[in-house]
Amino acid sequence: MVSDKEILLLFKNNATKERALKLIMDKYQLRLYAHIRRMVVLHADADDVLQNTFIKIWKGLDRFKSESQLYTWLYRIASNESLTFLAQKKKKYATSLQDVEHDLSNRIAADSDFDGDALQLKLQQALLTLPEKQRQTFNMRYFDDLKYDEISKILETSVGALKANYHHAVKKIENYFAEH
Amino acid sequence: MNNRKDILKELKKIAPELNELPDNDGFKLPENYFTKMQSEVLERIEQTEPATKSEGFFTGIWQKTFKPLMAFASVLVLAGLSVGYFLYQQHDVEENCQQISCLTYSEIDAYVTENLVNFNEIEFASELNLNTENPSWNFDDDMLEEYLLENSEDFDLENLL
Repeated sequence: MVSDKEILLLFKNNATKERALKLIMDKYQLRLYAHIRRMVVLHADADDVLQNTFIKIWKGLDRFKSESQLYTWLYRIASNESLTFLAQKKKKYATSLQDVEHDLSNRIAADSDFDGDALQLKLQQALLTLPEKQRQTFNMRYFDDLKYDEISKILETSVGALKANYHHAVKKIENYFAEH
Repeated sequence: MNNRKDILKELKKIAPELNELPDNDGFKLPENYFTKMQSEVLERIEQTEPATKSEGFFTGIWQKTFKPLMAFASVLVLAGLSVGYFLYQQHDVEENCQQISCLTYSEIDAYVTENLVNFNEIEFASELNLNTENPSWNFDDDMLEEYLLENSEDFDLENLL
């Protein structure tokens, strides 16, 4: 597997720039897709957001400073693109975000790209009742196994705020499971 | 692995009533999705930025050095041609002004004075079809000028004065 440092060097050279992007896609596409998909839920939407994410990476990687890890920077772009997408969806349908997520909750079970069991379906529906930041924090902590300081660098939020977000998210999921 | 254990311990601590949650989210990935996705991304990039294709050595030098120099030289040539045309037009005007319409009054006066030999007012009046018995001197400057120019060799300035 090519290191991030090597990828960045390849990207700086116009002759190997495209090859560098392919290497980034090969290395990070699955993790980025999963992160995006958990936020936007539907595969078609996740595909749009992931492509937009890689286009943004292509345009912005020249300005990436190696102060942070490459994955942190990629993940941040994917997070922001997901939230932007959901906000645009809300505007497009002139509904509140809660309505958008309520609609997604109803569509998950019928989605051919969801083959989870009853418990997985219930968890996804519970997550869709949470505010975005809590849902995002929960996904990154529980499904991506990230440490709080890693999440903090990606979302540019303090560890304390993240711990609070996660705590509230888990309590709401617990209540949802108790009621459904 | 330690991190995963810590996460599950933390979960239990926050929500003791919550039974074990599934480890996976249940979302399915379509077959060969990433191959298709990568092609689409690269195609979109090519459509928006065709110049990002790898450049040869000479193409690079052309783009970065000679092309800007050529553009600058073209601007200079155009500016030079414009100035040259303007100056030529001015010269043409000056040449045209050698014609009589550009002569000043004092220049005409000097010419007439130099060439004035004889002036016969009767003859002048008859030329103008005026009453020679009682010539009326109510002729205009144009008539006078015309007569003087036609007969300039015959006029004697001293006799006139």
